[in-house]
Amino acid sequence: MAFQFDFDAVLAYWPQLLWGCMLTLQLSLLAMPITLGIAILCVYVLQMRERVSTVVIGGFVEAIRNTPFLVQIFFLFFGLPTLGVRLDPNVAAILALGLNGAAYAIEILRGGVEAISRGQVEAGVALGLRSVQIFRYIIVKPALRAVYPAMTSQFIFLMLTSSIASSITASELTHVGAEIEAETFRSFEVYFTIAVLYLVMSFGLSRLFAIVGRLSFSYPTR
Amino acid sequence: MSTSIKRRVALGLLALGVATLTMRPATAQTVDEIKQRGVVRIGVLSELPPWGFLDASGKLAGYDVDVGTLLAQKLGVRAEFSGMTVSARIAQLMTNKVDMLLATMGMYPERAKAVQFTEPYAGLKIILLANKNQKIEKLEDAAKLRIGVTRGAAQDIAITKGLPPGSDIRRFDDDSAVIQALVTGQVEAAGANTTYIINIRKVMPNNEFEQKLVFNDQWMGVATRPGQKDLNTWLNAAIDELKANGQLDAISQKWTAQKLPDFPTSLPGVPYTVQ
Amino acid sequence: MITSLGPVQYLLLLQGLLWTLALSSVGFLCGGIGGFGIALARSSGLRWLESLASAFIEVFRGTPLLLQLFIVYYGVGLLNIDMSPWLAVAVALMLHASAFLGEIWRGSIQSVPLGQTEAATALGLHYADRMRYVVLPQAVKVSIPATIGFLVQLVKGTSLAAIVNFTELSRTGTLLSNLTYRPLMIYAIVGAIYFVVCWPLSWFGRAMERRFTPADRT
Repeated sequence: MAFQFDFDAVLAYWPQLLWGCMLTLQLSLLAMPITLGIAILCVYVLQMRERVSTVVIGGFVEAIRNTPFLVQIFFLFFGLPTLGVRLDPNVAAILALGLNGAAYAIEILRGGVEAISRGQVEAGVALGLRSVQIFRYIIVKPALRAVYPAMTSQFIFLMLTSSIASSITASELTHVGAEIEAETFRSFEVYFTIAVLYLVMSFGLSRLFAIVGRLSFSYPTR
Repeated sequence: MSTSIKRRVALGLLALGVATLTMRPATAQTVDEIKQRGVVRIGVLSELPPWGFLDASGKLAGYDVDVGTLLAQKLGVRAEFSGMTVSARIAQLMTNKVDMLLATMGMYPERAKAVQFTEPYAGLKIILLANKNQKIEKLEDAAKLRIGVTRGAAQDIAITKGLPPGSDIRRFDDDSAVIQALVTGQVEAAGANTTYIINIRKVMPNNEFEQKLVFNDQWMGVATRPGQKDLNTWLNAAIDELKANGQLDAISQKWTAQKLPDFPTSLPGVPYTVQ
Repeated sequence: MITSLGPVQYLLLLQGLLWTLALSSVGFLCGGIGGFGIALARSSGLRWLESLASAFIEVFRGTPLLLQLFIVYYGVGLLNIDMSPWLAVAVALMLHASAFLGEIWRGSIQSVPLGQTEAATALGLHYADRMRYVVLPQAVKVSIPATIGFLVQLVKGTSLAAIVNFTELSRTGTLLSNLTYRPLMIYAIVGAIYFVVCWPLSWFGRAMERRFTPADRT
């Protein structure tokens, strides 16, 4: 067993590898609504320009953006149980990914929201729309459309970040890879194959998001 | 749009593929080469007291480290210790990051296919740890629990074989993650070795964990890359000397408070010498 | 084994922090050089060079940093190159940084109005002079916020070296957590240390962004 590449040994595990891809996609797709939901909620609260909530949300965003994801997920998985809250690895992963993504999504969405001209909002008020309706139809939907590329790019990054959840034994592709490595001892071949799979998933997701974007946002704006 | 993406992916893979083709074969390592180099690189565990761990001042210490130091002295070179995790041991050896492993590595037939072991220099028992209140008399009793193990470790192999598929076995990267998981309640039982409980007791004297099952006796040998006959022969002779002059027994007393166990003269499926 | 944090443990954390900073600096500086080359290649106008650089960027942006680390770390040993673990991690970070910085700077170069390049060419400036005196100064200004933003990402990215068993700040945290069995406290402290390093950088990046934007509103 000298230094030769033996990809066959790894590719023999293709069912597990495929399953790992499904698991990663599942994890990411479950985290995305959390991210989007928190982002929309926080942007709504931010535009009310209340002192306390702005500081709290700002603090949350800065804390997440300036600390590594690994530390965040360790905190949730190993730290919370000492407070009596025990999260399953997958739950902890989805929560950590959701929160992490939200911190970035808030900034992205806020940029889009601030670009909506006041005239639009005033028109909504003049038409008698309630505050929530104004927010939903005049602010959020156009903002989402405007920031859609940045947002989907963030989602793909979220999918890549999920690989870190392997260290708390969450069910995803990198963890599957680590288990295959433990059985075959072929570290390089395993991780190379997995990297290719992530690349394929990134491209796949990006195409998927492009199609979804075309379908959701092709209403005329003029 | 799609053709340019396809092209980019192809180019990217091609670039990586070309890079991986530029490999050179491994060179065998002899004792003389190590002596000439002046330093022997030894892989030890960094998180498993009392075998290999970081002491209070951040230096690697333990049973394995002491044995490695003696071996380096015999070689007349400096010992350079590299702390690592259980799941990374073999990879580190095979990718030439270290010359040999004194990493509390149990001698099992599957591993003997990947690395070359010497005769044993240490021994322990592989056990299942759980809370006192859990009733576990045989392995099947643990089938419903969340069990933590270190990926690729002997306890991983034993538990995976012993339990039906679909059992909730969580395989962590390293021992410290498993201990952390057990102590925080993320897992209800953990595959461990006899020294885990000593360590947990030191920090949590009132802990409620106890040994539930014994899987097997585990013997540890020095691991080198396969085919290194010169190194393997030298190591076996050195271990014999350390046993004969009592230095190995002293290390055993120091770290496990027990005298050196009687090592088996042979293990099925695990040759002590290069075939 | 100890149960509370004393000066020795804080010293270990400091050591871990120094390794984190060392990895980040080397990754950023060398990645910057690589990124510069990639950015130029991407905006060179030579089809084959642009495609090659593009492929490089796509590979590193489309795969997780963790796997890039694994591949370089295990691959280097496989090719029998005698590289210390530290260097292997640094190389992986360098490659990662080259791809991202290359893309950021390519965007900045291409955001300089075409009229500038055309005018420079009309004035008889060669490629090197054109770049040096006209295009790059303007591109650099635009790129500062995104570049600093990436630097923060890189510092956080060094935490993944913990998974290949390199004792930087995050791994020191795990080791201490097991020596003290107080994970909540330890990870909070580790997070706080990262915050102290990263937040000023983030803040500086935003300040730069504010400063440069009004000036460009011509």
